Formats: sequence, C-alpha cells, structure tokens
Amino acid sequence: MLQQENLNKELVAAAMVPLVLSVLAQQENYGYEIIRQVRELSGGKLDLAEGTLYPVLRKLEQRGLVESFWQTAPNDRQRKYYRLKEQGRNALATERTNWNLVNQLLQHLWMPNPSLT
Amino acid sequence: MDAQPQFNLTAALQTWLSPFKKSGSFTDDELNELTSHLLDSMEALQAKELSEQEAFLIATQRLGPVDLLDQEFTKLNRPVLPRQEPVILLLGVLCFIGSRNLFETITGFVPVWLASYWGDTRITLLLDAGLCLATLLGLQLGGMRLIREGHWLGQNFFGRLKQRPVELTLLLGLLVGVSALGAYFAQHSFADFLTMTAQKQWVNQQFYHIHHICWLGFYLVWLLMFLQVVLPYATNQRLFVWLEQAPAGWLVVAGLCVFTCCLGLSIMGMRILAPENGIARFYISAGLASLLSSVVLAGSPRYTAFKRLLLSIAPLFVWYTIALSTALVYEERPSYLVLDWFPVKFFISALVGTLAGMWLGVLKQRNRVVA
Repeated sequence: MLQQENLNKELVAAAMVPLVLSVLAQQENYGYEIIRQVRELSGGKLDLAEGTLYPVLRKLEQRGLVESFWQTAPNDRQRKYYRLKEQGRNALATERTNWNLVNQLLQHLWMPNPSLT
Repeated sequence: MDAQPQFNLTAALQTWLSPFKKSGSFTDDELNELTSHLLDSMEALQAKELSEQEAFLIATQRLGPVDLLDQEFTKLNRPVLPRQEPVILLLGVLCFIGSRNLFETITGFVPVWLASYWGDTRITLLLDAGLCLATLLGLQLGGMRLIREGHWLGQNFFGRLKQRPVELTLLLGLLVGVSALGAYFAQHSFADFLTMTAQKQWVNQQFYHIHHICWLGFYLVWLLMFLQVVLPYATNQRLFVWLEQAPAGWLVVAGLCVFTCCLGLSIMGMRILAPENGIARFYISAGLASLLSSVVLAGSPRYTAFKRLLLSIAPLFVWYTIALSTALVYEERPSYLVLDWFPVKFFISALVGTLAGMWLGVLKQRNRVVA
C-alpha cells in the first residue's frame, strides 16, 4: 500500500474547521499552539498551512462560533487567544455527525464483499 | 562571516511587515497576531540551536509569502457583518448630517466673532478662510480615523456598534439634533452679518464667496471619504494603492479632479489677496495639482519616471485644451488664456510642480524603505 508523507491539501483544507473547533473545544488557545497540537497529534502528517489558519479563525469569529481576546503570556508577550462559544459547540456537533457519516460510508464501501463469486 | 552586521530583530520585523501594511488588506490587530505567531515560531526554532537570523528566515518562510496571505485575508476582511450594513448606512447618514450641521455652526458663528475683533480688514477674511480650511481638514482626518479599524477612535466606534448599536444611534441622533439647533442660529447670525457688511459697504466683504467655496470643499471631503471607503470594498485596495496601479485614463480623470479642487481653493485665496487680478491662481493650481499627482504616483510600480511626469501634466493639458476651445467659441475679445504668455507660464509651473513632487516622492520612498 502506498504510504503518503503528508495528506493532500484539499483534504487538509476541508478538515480545517472541524480540527480548529475540536482543538478549541478542549481549551482556549492561540494560533501557533493550535497548529503545533494538530501536527503533534497527527504524528507530523497533518500540517495546517500557517498563513491560512488566521483567515479561517477570523471567519469563525465572524460567524459567531468563536471569540477572541488578547492576553499576556508567561513570557510577557501578547497573544491572541480564541475561545469556543456555545454556537461553536453546536457547529462542532454538526461537523461531527457529518464526518462520522462519511467515515461510516467509506468503511462500509471498503469492506470486502463476500457475496461476489 | 564576522564582518556581517549584527542581526537586528526589530528592524527585520519592520521590513517584513512593511509590504503587509502597504497591501492594505490587514488590520493592525491581524498584523500583531501574525507577528506574535512569528515570534512563537522563532522561539521554537531557536530552541533547536538555530541562530536568531536563521530562525527568523525559516519562520517567515513557513508563514508564507505576502501574496498568498493577502489573497486569503482579502477574501474575508470585512469590518462589518452583512446584517449590520443597514445600520452602518443609517449611521453614515447621521454622521453626514451631523458633520454638516457642525460645519455650518462653526463657519457661521466664527466670521461674526472674528469681525467683532478685527473689523473690516483682510485679517478677518484670511482668518475666516484659514479656519474654514482647518475645519475641513479636521473633518477629513477625524473621518478617516473613524473608519480605520486599527485606530482607537475606529475601534471604539465599531466596538460600541457591536455591543450597543441602539445607544450609539441615539447618541448620534442627539448630536444631529443639537447641532441642527446650532446650525439654525449660526445661519441666521451669518445672514444678518452679511446684510450688515453690505449696508456699511465694507471693503473686505468676500465672506459669501469664501463660504460657498468652503461648502464645495465640504462636499469634496465627503466624496473623498466615500471613495476611500467604497474603493476597498470594490477592489480590495486602498485609494492610494489603487491610484499607484490605476490605468492612465483614470489617472487623467483623477488629475483633472485634483486640478479643479486646487483651482477652487486658489480662487478663494485670490479673492482675498488680489481681487483685481487673479490670473496667478491658474499657475498656483497647476503647480500644486501636478505636485500632488507626482507625489501620489511616486511609489507606482507600473509607470516609469518619464511616464509619471507625463501623467502629472496630461490632465492640465486636457483642461487647457477644453478651456481654450470654449473660450475661442464664446468670447469675442482675445481670451486671457492666450495673452501674456499664459500657456508657457502655466505649463512651466506644472513642470516645476511635477519635478518638486517627484523629488518629495523619492524622499517618501526612502523613508518607507528605512522604516
């Protein structure tokens, strides 16, 4: 089986919103840390494009799914944190249903079919 | 290697940020966030034994080129949510009426007050004209700060709009009401004042003209603000950035507008300084208009220096051709447009203005690079 180094861009772009929402569901976080966590959890296979994360965060903010605030980090630098809002939790639940559906469908299709010859 | 100068992070950050600022698609808040990201990224890299300079280079590479980020951000960078647009429209109307009333109050009472001190002198006229211009300038600057999301005034305004839109609307409504009252009284006192100067046959009684031209300026300021707000919506570029890349036809039209504005303002000045012979206003306006045009175009990546020179003078040539053709048709005696070396003086002042503007433009560019 062909083992790919990284996932293709389209898939990463499609998964961006549920990934960001899921990371934020654990705790409030800032951009750099979100990317780092996703990279670490995927074993380095899923790398969110750094420049494209912020427009996505802003879009989520405009849709009222997350809210942002500046906070001073322990090293005395200002960081912009994002927090999931109630509406964001609902959106995440919907995303979860959808992705589960796709996942189940693919699993079903990929199962070896015993009835053939 | 040792001969290389010390890497300066602050300067490097400034250089890195400057094209982002120039593109006009990022708010200050977003730039702060990107900078903070860059510093975090550098910190992680430096922990892996990389030098500060190496970490900076890799971190900026990872964040991506300006073009890419610009594309991503312009797609969504709208300070206002769609459903708020009617509210914004209403606020815009209130701001217009409010500023109009305020302008009328100030320019109505001030000449009366000035005349009570200085009487029938040119000082009264000059002070009056100066104050009108200062009010216009204040209006323009205040307005621009208000619509810029990064400035505290704009942040305050939009923050309030988000949290308490009703309160903000009521506040503006109150301002409109109170300023309307002021404008009403100011208008009457100004009208009485004009009657008084006419009755007493004052020598310096051009207040009426000054104020009419100031009103012209007032509407032009609003037009400019309108352009500065609408253009980013339509083309995702700020006015000046757009001008630097605009096609030549648009630039000539814009140049004509600038020249007519300069002409209007210089008419006001000439009525006070030299009421008998105001021809000099054409030379002053030609110089000023071409100076402004060449300063604005100085950073243009699209046009060479020679083309910029031509573009700064072209609107004046267009204006002169139109003015001369109408003068030849309608005026029986020889027009002042051909007498007394008018065209030569006119275009020489334009050329001087353009060259001075280009020189200022070079200084501006240098500052931009240094910053």
